[in-house]
Amino acid sequence: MPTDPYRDLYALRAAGMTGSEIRALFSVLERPEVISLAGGNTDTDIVAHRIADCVAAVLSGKGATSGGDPLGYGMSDGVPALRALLCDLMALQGIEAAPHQILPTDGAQQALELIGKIFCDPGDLVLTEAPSYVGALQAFQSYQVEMRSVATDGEGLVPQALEESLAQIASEGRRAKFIYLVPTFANPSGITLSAARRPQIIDICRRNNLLIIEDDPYAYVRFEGESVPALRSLTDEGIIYLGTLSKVFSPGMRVGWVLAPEPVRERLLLAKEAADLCSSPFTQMVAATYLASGHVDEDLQIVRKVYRERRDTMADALDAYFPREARTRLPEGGLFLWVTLPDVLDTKAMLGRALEEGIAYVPGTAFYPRKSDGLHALRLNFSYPSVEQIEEGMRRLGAVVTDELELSRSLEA
Amino acid sequence: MARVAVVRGGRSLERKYSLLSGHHVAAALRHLGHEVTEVDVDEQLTRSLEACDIAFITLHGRDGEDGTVQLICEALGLAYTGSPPRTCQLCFDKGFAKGLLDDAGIPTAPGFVLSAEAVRRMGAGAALRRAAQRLGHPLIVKPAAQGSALGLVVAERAEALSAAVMEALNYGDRVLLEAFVPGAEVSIGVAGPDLEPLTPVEIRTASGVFDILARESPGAVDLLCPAPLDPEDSRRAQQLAREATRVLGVRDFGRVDMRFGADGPVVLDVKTCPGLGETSIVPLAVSEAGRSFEDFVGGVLDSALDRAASAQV
Repeated sequence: MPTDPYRDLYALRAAGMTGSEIRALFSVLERPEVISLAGGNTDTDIVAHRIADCVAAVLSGKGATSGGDPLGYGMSDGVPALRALLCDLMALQGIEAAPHQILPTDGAQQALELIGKIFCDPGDLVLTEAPSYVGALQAFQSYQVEMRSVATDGEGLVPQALEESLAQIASEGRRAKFIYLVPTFANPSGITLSAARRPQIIDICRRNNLLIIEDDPYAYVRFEGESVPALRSLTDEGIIYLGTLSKVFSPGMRVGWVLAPEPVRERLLLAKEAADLCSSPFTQMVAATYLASGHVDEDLQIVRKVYRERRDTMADALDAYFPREARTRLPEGGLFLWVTLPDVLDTKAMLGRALEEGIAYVPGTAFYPRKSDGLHALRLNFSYPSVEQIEEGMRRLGAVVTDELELSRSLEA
Repeated sequence: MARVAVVRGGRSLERKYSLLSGHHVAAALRHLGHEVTEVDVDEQLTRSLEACDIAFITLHGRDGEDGTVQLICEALGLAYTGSPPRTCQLCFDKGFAKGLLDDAGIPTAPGFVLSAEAVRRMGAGAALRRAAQRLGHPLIVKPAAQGSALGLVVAERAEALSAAVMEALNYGDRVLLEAFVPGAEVSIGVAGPDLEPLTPVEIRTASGVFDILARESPGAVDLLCPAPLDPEDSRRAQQLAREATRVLGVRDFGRVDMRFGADGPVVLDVKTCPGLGETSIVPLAVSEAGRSFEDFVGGVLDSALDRAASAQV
């Protein structure tokens, strides 16, 4: 008797879904003594009181939306008031958009899944930065695509590397479907594609007929430095823009959106209807009420101040507790610190030890299509844990890394 | 009906599997009419145990399989299921268990255990390399005291040894280098006062190794029950399972993992608290024998209660 009696019934795309060693280990995260620097959560305490007010307003019919039952089904293309308010929000990033171009989704993650659904056939080529957001890799890979990484440096995606990658693909007689980018405070690297490179990347993609998926969750969480224009603010052709309120409002509300060329939006809408009929009208109305409340700027100031302090605590602790060979690049915003360790250390293998010591992180391999990449890197989240937890967590992790390095050297002696 | 504390979860990295075992056992006990409390390992554990008649221990790895919780039960005078602390300690340390089985003439895979401390302070990295040469490649490298295949690596070549040792030492302070025995991987549960062997189960994986990645990948592991062995091999393996568990003092139930090499079965591991989740090996073998899981769990509980009652007389 096989372990899974339904195995012969699964679609090929489900059969190809692979597991993760990390998933089993992370069950210890529910233990109170474990400090997690692993997730991508925000500090929802900052806006919890606002959400409570907005929920009350929506349920009493005093929210920022007119008509519609927050507890009933809604339209697949979303709550109209929310779409209009999202246009106002994107205008802060210099993006011109009209409500009819927007499709609200269950977080930007659903948009990634829908993009995979309407664009990707088995064997299709998809390009990403290296490293890249693990949720995007999973969404696209579930449609059996071949993911190829394009090199990045401190200024983000390297234009020359993109040119070379596209030339290589053309020489194979193939074509990439799209390139997926988090141009501002990339997850996990924290790197921002420089302003100078943005038009170059757009130009290369336009010349090669390569669609850009611009995932832009972190632009509002900038602590310092000059703002960089969204790719979508530079052109409205050949770009699907993904936004989310998860980093400025609440990840648990699951409010994201797609801004796409009309034909693409139509297909995404049909795919969404099949997926879930509609995003929750309730959470959309709560989000709209919050956006209309006039508190967004004020709250974002707090978010930026709090996260900046936590980032600085983490960076200082890295200096204090880690071997000097540990490297990071201080991000000007976002939620993560990307740390590279000496290449004798395997961060996936080290995770068990770290968890035993009560500290969790995400190993670098999770962020690459090829599991042999990212072995010596790890991602640390500074937006969710308190300053005290960051300090203690980094002390624990620094001790593990120091000990591992010593053991490795002894082993080779 | 008894007030039963099902101890599950715990601090171990095998927490996920323990929760699956615990939920399954708790459901079976409730079905049998017992008053069940599911408890985790924390500062309140001893107090929770004191409020019950018996502990049904379904912890895997640290605290449960190393005898820690069993020692608490002994000190409290509380009935508990499964093996006594000494047996847990012996079986949890694969090096000790291997030595005792060797002494009893039970075939095991050749292996060597070295500590991280010896590597750090005594230059034992050279001894590891020498041991690997003696055992040959491919070579199994795993933590000496860990379950659920965590930290298990197959070092195909000498160059892969250091990384494999580093990985294994992330899950414990000693590493076991063990000769790779090619052949079918078979697990045999034992149950009851006479440690009656259950039906052999063969574990098949795409990679040929039942490691943590295989465990966590849907569809990557097939459990064949009964294992496709010829009747004589099957009897031989069952006999070996019973002997191995008797030598180490296993009580109530357990599981013996082995590989069928060219010279017959060799024992790789003896588990005092094997997985008891819905898709685990022992419940599968129990079901194959036409017995319900509730009956199995009830039998284990009754044995432990009888033992405690006898001890009080």
